Amino acid sequence: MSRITVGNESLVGSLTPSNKKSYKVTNRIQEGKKPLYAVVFNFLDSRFFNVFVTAGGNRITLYNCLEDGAISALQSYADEDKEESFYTVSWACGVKNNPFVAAGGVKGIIRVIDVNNEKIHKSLVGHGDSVNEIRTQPLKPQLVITASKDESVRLWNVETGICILIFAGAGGHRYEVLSVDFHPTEIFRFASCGMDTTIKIWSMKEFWTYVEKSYTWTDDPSKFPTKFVQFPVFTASVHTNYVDCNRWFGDFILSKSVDNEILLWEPQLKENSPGEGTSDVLQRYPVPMSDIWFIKFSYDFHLSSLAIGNQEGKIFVWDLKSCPPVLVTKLSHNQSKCVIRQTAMSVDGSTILAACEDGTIWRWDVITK
Amino acid sequence: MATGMIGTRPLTKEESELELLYGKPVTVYHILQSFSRDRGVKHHLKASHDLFDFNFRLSENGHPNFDVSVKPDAFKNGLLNFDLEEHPRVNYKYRSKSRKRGQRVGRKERKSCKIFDKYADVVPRDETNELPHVNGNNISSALTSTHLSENSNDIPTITQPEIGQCSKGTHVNGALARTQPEIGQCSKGPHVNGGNVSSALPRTQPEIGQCSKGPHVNGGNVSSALPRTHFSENINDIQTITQPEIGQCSKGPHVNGDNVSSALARTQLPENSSDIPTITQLEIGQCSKGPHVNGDNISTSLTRTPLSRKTTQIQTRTQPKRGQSSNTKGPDENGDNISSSLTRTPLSKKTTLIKTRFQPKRGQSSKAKGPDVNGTSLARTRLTRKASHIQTVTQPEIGQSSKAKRPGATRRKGFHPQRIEDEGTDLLRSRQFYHSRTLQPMTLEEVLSEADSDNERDEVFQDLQERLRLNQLVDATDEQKRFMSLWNNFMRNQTVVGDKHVPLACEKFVKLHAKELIKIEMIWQWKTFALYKLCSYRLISAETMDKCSIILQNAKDKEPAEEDADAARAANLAAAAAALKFYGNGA
Repeated sequence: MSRITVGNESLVGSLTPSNKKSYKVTNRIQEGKKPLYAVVFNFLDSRFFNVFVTAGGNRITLYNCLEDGAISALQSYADEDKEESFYTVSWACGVKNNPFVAAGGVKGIIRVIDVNNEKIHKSLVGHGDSVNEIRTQPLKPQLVITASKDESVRLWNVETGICILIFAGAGGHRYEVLSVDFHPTEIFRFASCGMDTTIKIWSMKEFWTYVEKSYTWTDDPSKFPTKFVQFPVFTASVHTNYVDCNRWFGDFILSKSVDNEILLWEPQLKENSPGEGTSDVLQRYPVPMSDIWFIKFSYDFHLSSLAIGNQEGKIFVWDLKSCPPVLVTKLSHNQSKCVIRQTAMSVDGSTILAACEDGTIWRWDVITK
Repeated sequence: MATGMIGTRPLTKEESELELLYGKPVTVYHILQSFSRDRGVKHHLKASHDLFDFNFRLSENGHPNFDVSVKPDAFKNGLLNFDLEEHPRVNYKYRSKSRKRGQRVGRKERKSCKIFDKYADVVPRDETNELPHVNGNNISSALTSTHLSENSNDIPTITQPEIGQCSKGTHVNGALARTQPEIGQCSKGPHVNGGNVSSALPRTQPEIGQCSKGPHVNGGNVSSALPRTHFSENINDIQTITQPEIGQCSKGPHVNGDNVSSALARTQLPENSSDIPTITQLEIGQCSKGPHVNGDNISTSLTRTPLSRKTTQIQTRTQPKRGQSSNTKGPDENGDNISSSLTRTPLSKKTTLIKTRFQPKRGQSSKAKGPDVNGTSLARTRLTRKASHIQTVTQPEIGQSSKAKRPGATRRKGFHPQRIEDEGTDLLRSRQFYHSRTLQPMTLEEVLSEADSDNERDEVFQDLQERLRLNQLVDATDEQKRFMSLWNNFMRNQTVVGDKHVPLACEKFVKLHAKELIKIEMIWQWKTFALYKLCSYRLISAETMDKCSIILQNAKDKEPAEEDADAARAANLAAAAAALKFYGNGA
């Protein structure tokens, strides 16, 4: 279905840091014993640009990043089931722009927490297996998509708790779906990737009426006419192993597999023939020692740099605006030896957070000269 | 000796004379006394099982009763201790059909029940525990089937099965196998003591303490195993209900504690007179393998066999795991729906599985329950006449409480349609169900609505599929493909089956897709198709063509483009003419 065009070699980044910016550790918090799988800054609401949420074990905790490296805990929620292990968390909004936190984990239930009222707004039931990632549509923050181990991607309306669309079926993923991401500008499009080594781009254009209906649905959520979307717009096989993180970079996609690098590639779709297209790998960002799956990267709001951790507890910060790729800096600490599952960069890139397997959160702040 | 027994009035003159002549009459009291002394059932029972406590007493009416209660430590972890070991399975040769399907037994009178009715007064007994001397001559012979009528003594003799004797064919002691030896019950009818063999009990009477496979008669219950034989021949009071010997373990469903009602079990008698008494009355103390209900859920046990598809072994609570639902990781059924589990399965469901689960339908008990079935809740409905004597002792349940605890069936339950329906849906109400495709929780009304979603069609998806399929055609232009997909989708939804339908379908199609067909290229597609395919097969005539053209024309008229209309009109006319000619030629 996709062909890598010949003749265009992708550019590989060099691992020599340019050190244009440097960071230092300003704080370290031990949250508990369980591994932390996710840490996400709030990019939706400018009032809360310094607030981040972490997910690990059966807990969801909100923190505030203060100046001078201080971190204050704001709220903490624990699932009453001790067996639950949250794998992912995302910020969302209600219709009144009140902040929500959507978290999902091994039980397959997505908890939508109303942060202002400190209670659960909705529990979204429907996935048949654990939830691997939740992402919010920035243009319509009541919509979240969730990627699950049950090979499907579901679109939910967190305000009303309705499952609007299910992206699975004949053309869907054939193994666990590990990551999803909405397109930044095109509201109908998103990309998903999974253990079947493919990255699929989906469109919800045909079903947009259902999306709108979901806002005003008053009946029982289970009676909503949930539609199945079985065919993606495009399927790309740029990787040869599990693809555990993909993010849109404009119209390009940054995706990472377990072979120690992040690829930047361009999907070229044929408008009228869905399913056909090409993928053109443009650049490669090497990340040494990151060959276990479920390590996710993040970038700042303006897409100027990208931070990713590895198995050894080191963080690589790449400059996204340079071609060939330039490594900005490599962060390491002699006490940070644990797998970093996810990083989070603040809006302006001045703070980098790392969530580790041993339950610690490391905070790195940029050193201003 | 004018002295009577302790506690009774002194003998009258006549009585003492009789006594001199014939010897001391055996009275209930006497027997009871002997029982409660060293040779009482209690002792026998005790020997065989230590699950139950027995309390022998006389009821107000003067009938001997005994209460059975399960010892508190009989269960461990909710399972009968006995059941924790392995037992060989009962080989039930006879299984009543209706019971198999989990239906309530006893919808109609069965032959055997009639018999029981007749001899309802006779107490079923279990030979094993009967005192030899009491039975005097009857010991059975195990073999023959003596007709009960032969021995008609009024004396309710309890025929003891020869202790240790294994009677194949058993004696059916007249009495219903109910466990209680109705000692001294006045026999309404002949008792068959000892001698009655009821034909066949196929099962051997278990020796005391023995574990018999199959229903066996317990200590007091004579329940002869269902006679395989001809029921009718042996009058039997036999109840084949095998009362499990007290303390015995019977395989088969048993009801614990006092579910003696197991009697129910029997009801099926009529049909199969054959072996099995499947009803294993569980009698007291019996531990029978098979699904058993704790404590006194007899009622529940009655209920239909659990749905659960998993034949679990012992669970004291039969959880009905209603299999339903989709394979979702679903909500777990509540652990303790026992009650629900116990409730009946909707009649329609097949209880194919499980052998273990026979829940005898309790409550159905055989009709002829001897009058005094003591206490034990056997009470089965049919006890009928002697119902008054029956006392139900409900064992406190050990562990669970069953939701649908049926009251000791002291009266025959009617077959009220509402009740049946409610029972049928009990399981449906018991837990949360989920839709199978979207995995969303179902509301109760959805669950009960019996709507079948298997035939749902996703039209949008099918349309898409058709389009994709046609897309693969290499030699068709895009318009052709578009037209084909329109027509195919239309036809699939309309399900046109007859030739005569085609003209109507054409008109509909044109009306439906008028907007799209007005386009020049599409109109051409339509006409070509209509002419070369439909007309050439004589499926439509020129009239239809004309009508369609008019429809298209009208649609077009609403369009601003004037030239197109003219062109279209001209084209229409030409087409119509051509069709006529064609048709005319062909005619």
